Amino acid sequence: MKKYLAVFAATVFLISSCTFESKQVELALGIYTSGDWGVPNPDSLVLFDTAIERFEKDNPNIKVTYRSGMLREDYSEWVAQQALKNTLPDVFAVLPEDFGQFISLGLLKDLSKDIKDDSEFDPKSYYSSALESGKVNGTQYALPFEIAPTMMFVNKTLLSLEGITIPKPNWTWDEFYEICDKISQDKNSDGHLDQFGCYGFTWEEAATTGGSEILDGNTTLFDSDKFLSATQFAKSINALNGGENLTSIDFDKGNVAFCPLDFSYYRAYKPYPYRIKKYSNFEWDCIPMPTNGGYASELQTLQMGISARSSHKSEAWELLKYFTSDYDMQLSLLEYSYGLPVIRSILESNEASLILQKDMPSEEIYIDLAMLGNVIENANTAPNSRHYSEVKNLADSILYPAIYADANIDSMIRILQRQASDLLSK
Amino acid sequence: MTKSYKNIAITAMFAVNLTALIFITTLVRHATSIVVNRYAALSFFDALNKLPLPSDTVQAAALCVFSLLVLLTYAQTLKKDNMTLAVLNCSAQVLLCIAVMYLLDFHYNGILFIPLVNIIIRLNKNSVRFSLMLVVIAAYLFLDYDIISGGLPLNHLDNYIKIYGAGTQTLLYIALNLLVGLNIIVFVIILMQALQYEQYETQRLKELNEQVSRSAEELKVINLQLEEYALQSEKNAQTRERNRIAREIHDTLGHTLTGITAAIDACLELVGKDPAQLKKQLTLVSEAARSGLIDVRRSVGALRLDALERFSLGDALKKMVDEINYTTNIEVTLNYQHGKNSDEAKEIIYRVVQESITNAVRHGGASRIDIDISLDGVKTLVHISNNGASCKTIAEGFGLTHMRERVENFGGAITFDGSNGFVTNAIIPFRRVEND
Repeated sequence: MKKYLAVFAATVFLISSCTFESKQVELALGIYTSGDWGVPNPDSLVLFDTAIERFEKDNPNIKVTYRSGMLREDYSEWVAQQALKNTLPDVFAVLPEDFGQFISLGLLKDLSKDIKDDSEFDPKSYYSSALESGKVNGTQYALPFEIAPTMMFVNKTLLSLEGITIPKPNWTWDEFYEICDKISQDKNSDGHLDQFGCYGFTWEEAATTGGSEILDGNTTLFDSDKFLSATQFAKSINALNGGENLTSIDFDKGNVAFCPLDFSYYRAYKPYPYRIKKYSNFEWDCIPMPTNGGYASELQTLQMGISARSSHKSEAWELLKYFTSDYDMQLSLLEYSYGLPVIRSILESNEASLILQKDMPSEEIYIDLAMLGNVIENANTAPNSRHYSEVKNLADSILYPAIYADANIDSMIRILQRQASDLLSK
Repeated sequence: MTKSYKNIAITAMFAVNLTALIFITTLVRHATSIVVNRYAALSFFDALNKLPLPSDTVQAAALCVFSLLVLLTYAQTLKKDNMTLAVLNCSAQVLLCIAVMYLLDFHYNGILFIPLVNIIIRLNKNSVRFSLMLVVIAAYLFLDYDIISGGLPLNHLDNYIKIYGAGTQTLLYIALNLLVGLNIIVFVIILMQALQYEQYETQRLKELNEQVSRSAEELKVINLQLEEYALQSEKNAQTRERNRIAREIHDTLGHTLTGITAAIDACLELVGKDPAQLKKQLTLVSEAARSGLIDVRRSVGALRLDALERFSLGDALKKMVDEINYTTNIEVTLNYQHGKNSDEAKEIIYRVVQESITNAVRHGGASRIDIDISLDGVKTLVHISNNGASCKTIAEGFGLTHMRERVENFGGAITFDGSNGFVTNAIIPFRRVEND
């Protein structure tokens, strides 16, 4: 027996010494490199290649590999496959819609200890809303990599034609409704409206700006008065469109005054060269959403986490820390990505405005970065429930006839509340 | 249950459970690869409660733990009598089973039948067996997917089976149920056999018990007979002793009195005729009478067995020798070596010495007797010689015959030599040696 123990100990020692000998650690990184934020981005390869090169230079014992050419729409499936095959990358990006599910299945490592033990790491440098979206029940499982707040896109040309000034950043539902009401017109008098107030203001935008949560843990909150009034407001805004079936093309053509969109659209289409492709026949800008006691924006966060089964967790933490909190790395997002950095100080810096202003036409200035930072800091984050996406899809399908047609809002909400509860109790 | 039957039973359990383990783990592996190949991993996630352990690792680990279980059950057949070891072994088996069940997300708890069968057929202490069985049964009842999944995230096997087409699903469920059922059937058969064997054992014990009580009764009868026999024996001894006393009286007193009577008759003839001759004759009579008295004393002494009962053999012999040295002119020497003689052997030695002295005085007219008692292993050597009359041929009278019979009956040997004085050599074992 002693002999076998000795042999066993020797083997363990040998193996461990071998691993210490070869100090080079290979870390796999899971990211997608195209289709970022729904906007084509040819620069994301540059972003990651440069970033990894710099990281490897600073950490000569770590080699980082990643699979290029991964599309955003294929990415979730790819991660799920790697998880099932036990080949999950050590550090990988997590899409907002997958986050709740991945946490509940235990794909991601709890980062609390790394954060506590690492004196260099400063959680306060992040936008608190962005950091919050990586938490589940108070435990940090992922760190934000880049963010995109939803903003209200405004057709400035249309507003000035109607003699309306651009709303102030802290505008309300009432002002919003008033402007939309004023703008909705039948310009060519064919009996159909051809100029519209807003496209794409759904129950979701209404709930966010009205301050109505739809989930609290495993409880659905559709039966609250706030949600009812939010839905009613969404219905009234859409009713102004006179039953016309709008699409995003109507906004692109310049016939719609407002459209809630991700800030990544602004990042993509505001500067050259893409500004010529879209919205070329009118002046536009984006402002915070109108509120009624709620949030002026909903934050979309692309996060990164460490695989719970990674065999190089401490190196993975270094890499994760680098991607999510390194100043230069995060600054480079402004150049190569359509997302926004998660470190607060970057948008406040001169470097940031220089980079952002670089590709703008000389007569125009980039969005007020202080205002943008404020919007991000106070943005709403979607609950990290495993079933959030399912519940949202359910709400979309049930509330559609209530908002866009004549279905009774009260009864639809009651149906939604029951079905959503059933779904959650499964 | 016989040993070979036990081995067959355990092997059958192993075979069924190994098949079930391979079936389930292979099913999970295959289903997982299908999910990945079909690009259905994300939708498969919806059905899961936790990220499954890598399916090939699970299979390897489950088979490893299973082999350990086989080794443990085999080890149990080697050391039989150590109860603590057996209990430890059975407990370890239960833990290994729980490890396998954990690896399989508690889809399959039939593996617990292996330690259960082991406990039933290998442990024979009822209280321990019962409590261990209770533990296993509790594990079987409570470590079940439906119960555990309430507190621990587990993935149901159904999720994997549902990946296949409807036809295959049915086949898979049939195979799974067959394996689970087969396991239970094998277990029930083993249980029945064990019960039958137990019943057979009880029956056999009952029969044995009856036999023992019958024997006890017979023993009682034999005991009674023995008691009767002992009584009879005692009576016989009394009779023999009476005969001996009669013989002694006849030999000593009778003989002396006969001589005296004859001598006195002769004296009567001489009265008034030859006073000198008469005086001589009377002196002879007196001597004869005195000699007779000595003989009588000796005889009475010889009859008094309690000398031996009160003293040790050495003391008794010394007393006898001293008595003769005081009362007669004969010089007797005693050289005595003490041995672990039984009471019976002591008496025989005492008698041989006593008889030899009597004979030397009575027949040989010896003036010196040397007694030497030494040891040879587990035997006592008795050597008695005197300087009395020699006799070429020895006619063994009552005394010598009696001595020989006693010694030989006891398993010893005795020889007499009359060529120079008279020598008696006897070898007497410490304990009676039974001759067939």
